[in-house]
Amino acid sequence: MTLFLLDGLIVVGLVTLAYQAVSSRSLFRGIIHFVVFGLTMALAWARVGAPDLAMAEAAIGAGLTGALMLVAYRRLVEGRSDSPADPAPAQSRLALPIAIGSGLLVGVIGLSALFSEVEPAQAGQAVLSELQQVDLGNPITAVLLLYRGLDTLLEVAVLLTAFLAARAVAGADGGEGSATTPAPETPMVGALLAVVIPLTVLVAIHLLRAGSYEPGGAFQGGAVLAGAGVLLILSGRIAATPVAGPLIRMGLLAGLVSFMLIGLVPLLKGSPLLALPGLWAVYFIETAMMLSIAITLILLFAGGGGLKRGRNG
Amino acid sequence: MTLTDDVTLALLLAGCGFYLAGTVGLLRFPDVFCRLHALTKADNLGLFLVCSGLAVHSGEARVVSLLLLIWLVGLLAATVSAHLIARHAHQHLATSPEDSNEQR
Amino acid sequence: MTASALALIVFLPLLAACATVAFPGRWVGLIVRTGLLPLPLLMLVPTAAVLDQNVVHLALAGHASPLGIEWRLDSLSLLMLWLNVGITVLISLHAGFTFRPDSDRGRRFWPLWLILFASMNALVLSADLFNLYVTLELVTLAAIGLIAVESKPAALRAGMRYLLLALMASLLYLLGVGLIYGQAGTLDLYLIAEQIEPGWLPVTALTLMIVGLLIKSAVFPLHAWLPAAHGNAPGPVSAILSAMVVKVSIYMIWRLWFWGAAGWDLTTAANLMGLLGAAAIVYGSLAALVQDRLKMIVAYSTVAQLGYLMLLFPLASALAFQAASYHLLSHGLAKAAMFLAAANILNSVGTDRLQRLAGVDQRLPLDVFALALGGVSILGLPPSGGFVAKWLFLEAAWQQQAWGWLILVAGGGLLAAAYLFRVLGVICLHPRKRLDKRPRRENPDLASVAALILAVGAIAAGFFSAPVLDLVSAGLPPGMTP
Repeated sequence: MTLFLLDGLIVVGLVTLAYQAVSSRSLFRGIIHFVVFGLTMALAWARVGAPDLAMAEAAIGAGLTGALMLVAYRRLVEGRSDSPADPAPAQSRLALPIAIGSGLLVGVIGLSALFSEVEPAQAGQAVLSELQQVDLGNPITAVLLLYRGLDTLLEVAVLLTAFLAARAVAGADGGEGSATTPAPETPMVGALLAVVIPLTVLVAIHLLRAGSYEPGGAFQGGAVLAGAGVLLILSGRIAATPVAGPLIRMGLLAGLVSFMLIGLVPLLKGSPLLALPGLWAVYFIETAMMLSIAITLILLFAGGGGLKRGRNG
Repeated sequence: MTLTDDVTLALLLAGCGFYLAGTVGLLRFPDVFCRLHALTKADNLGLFLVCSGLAVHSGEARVVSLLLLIWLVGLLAATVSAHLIARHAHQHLATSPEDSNEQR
Repeated sequence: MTASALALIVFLPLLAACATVAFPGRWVGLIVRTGLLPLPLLMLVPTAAVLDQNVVHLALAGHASPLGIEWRLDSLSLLMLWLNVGITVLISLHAGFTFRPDSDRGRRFWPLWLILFASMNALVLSADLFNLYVTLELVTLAAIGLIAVESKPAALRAGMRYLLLALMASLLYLLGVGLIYGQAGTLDLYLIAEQIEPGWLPVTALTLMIVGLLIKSAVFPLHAWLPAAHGNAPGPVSAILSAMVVKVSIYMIWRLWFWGAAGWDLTTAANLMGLLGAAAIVYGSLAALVQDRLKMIVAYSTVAQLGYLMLLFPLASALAFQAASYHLLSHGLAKAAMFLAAANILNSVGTDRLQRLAGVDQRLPLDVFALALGGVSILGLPPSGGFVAKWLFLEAAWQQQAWGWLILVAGGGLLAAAYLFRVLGVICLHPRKRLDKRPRRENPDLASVAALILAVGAIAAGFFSAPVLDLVSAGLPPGMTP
């Protein structure tokens, strides 16, 4: 009964927050509503039994996306002298039809899901039985890296492509002058960073290692690390530059390149493509992926091609 | 229900009560500084009560220490955020006094 | 051997893309060449394998489905691979001039170009529904980055609209995949095809997936993003978008329809798809007739030509499948040629407004010739590849006595003639309006030659159709008898 209440509360909250995000009278409020929507979504993922997804959603969907949107808001809206002080989000004639269409879609999917017989999940059972032969406790990590490695490889490529596309759109400018306001000169921020940054790095590394046997993994660790990077940018310790130095470039590409090279090596010995030669490969690739994901997200937030020590660094 | 469960329930309910008080303060107080008072004091105490309730419920040393760490880090984050918001509001107030009630 | 070749076909361009990001400017040209030029040679290995065994299966990481992902190479995939490799390499010849590898623009362009190439290769090999989603996302993102690479406002707007619509389409597709997985318990397309019976849930899932893919393929009436995106993108980008990128999502629809839902009774839906194709042909041609920019005319021509590929659904027979595959091939070549020629003209004259292009055939004979040859194939005049495709469509319609589709195919040719002759007429017939100003920029000869090679390829496809058609008939969908 209480669980039903909790689920109902989460669903009502999601719908209300989504509505508020789209239709509030101030764009800023809409952004905040969207961030809270992301956090409620993380709750929903936790309720349906997907803790890995909940962690990723909270870190990326609520945290990083929220920070990105606020920075974009400041740069696009407040930075311009000709726009009104507190603009409302743009109204669209398509809003109502899309809302009704989505509602109908959800209804149709729900109905068809109710009226169908569900067969046992072959793939899932195959994973669980195969897992006995490997020393990984977390089936998700096994699926991501051992059984369906190509998907993960391409996902990391998607992240790189998103960064390259963002650089292409930014064009020749971008880099000098961070998108955020000058960092506040108060010693409290320094104290906060002195405690939080090492703690965050520790948590990220823990999530990476814990991914082998508990919920966690490279994506979650990378997102947490990116959060640390965002803090450093906001406090002026790190700034963006137009072009990345060699270290940043290596970090950016490490995940994808190491996965591809380690995946191609088995072909020389006659093994199938992407058949990772052991658990050490899994750990190495996961670490490289965490680094790449973190650097990509930080660069996307910074708005430049590379990083350097900032004014207060 | 055992004694542990009773204590846990009491602590969690108390914590929720403080969170409720903080939220009411957020909605009802007139300006930024009063709202910050409500948020920082009530919410942090609420967090402490919720964490202690969960610590009592689990009883393992590892979980208790993690919850203590969570509370301390939450405290730190809330402190610095409140400081930064108050600072910004104060500076904003110094330059344009009529906006003091329009703080987001 | 085949496994290594296929692996390199996907991963070599991807590694080259990473290398172009990693290494400084003067190495980029060499890296790009290393990532592109070996591929036609590498393609020979899987071609031999398919000619030998008909279908090549590869279980990645040694785990066969339902546990892992499989690559499946059959005739259709091989055709798509060859098309992708050939067209990309030829367009890259042209792109080497617009986006010099050692310039800033080049450094933003080439990584995305290589990633687009690699992801399309990975897409046509994949036999797994979720893997198809990931590769399609990669294709879309790279395409959007390429559309916006010159940061022109019109291109940025078009790219943004494409991004929003493409994300919605991906969401619909993913929703369908989730539903099917819940029902079937596996993500392998061919395993699902064996197990699933048509019912409420599978039909809903299939509808969702196909609607999402229709948005990505810009089939009428979900085509709104295409003319702006293809018309405003840089030259080589428009060429690859119209020639290949829209084709891969149509390829996915074919896989889902003919291999995934083989044996289902889909006649109503098939007729609906055919009607959408008919509307696309008519609307696209009429819209192309009233455009005043050359690139927009070519973009609307793409909308119209994609309608022909929809005719495969109501006319589901072996002949129609051959016709559609051949149309895929010849339209790819012809459209790439036309876009490259249009880019050269735009670069030289400074504008692509049709009224200002009168007399351009005197100054840029190679490019106008490439444009005209590409137009011949689009029109379906013999002896071009487009003619073979149209002829096979007409034969397929005649065989099934589907007079409506027959008239449509014939009429579509007339409509295409209308807008093509308008373009060529303005350019070539100019009794009084002679532009004797000098061209704004000289194009390198190789850029025009690249366009010409593609156009000649479209015509040559009309002569060498037999081996390709034999290859395609070897890989017909289940249930279609020759």
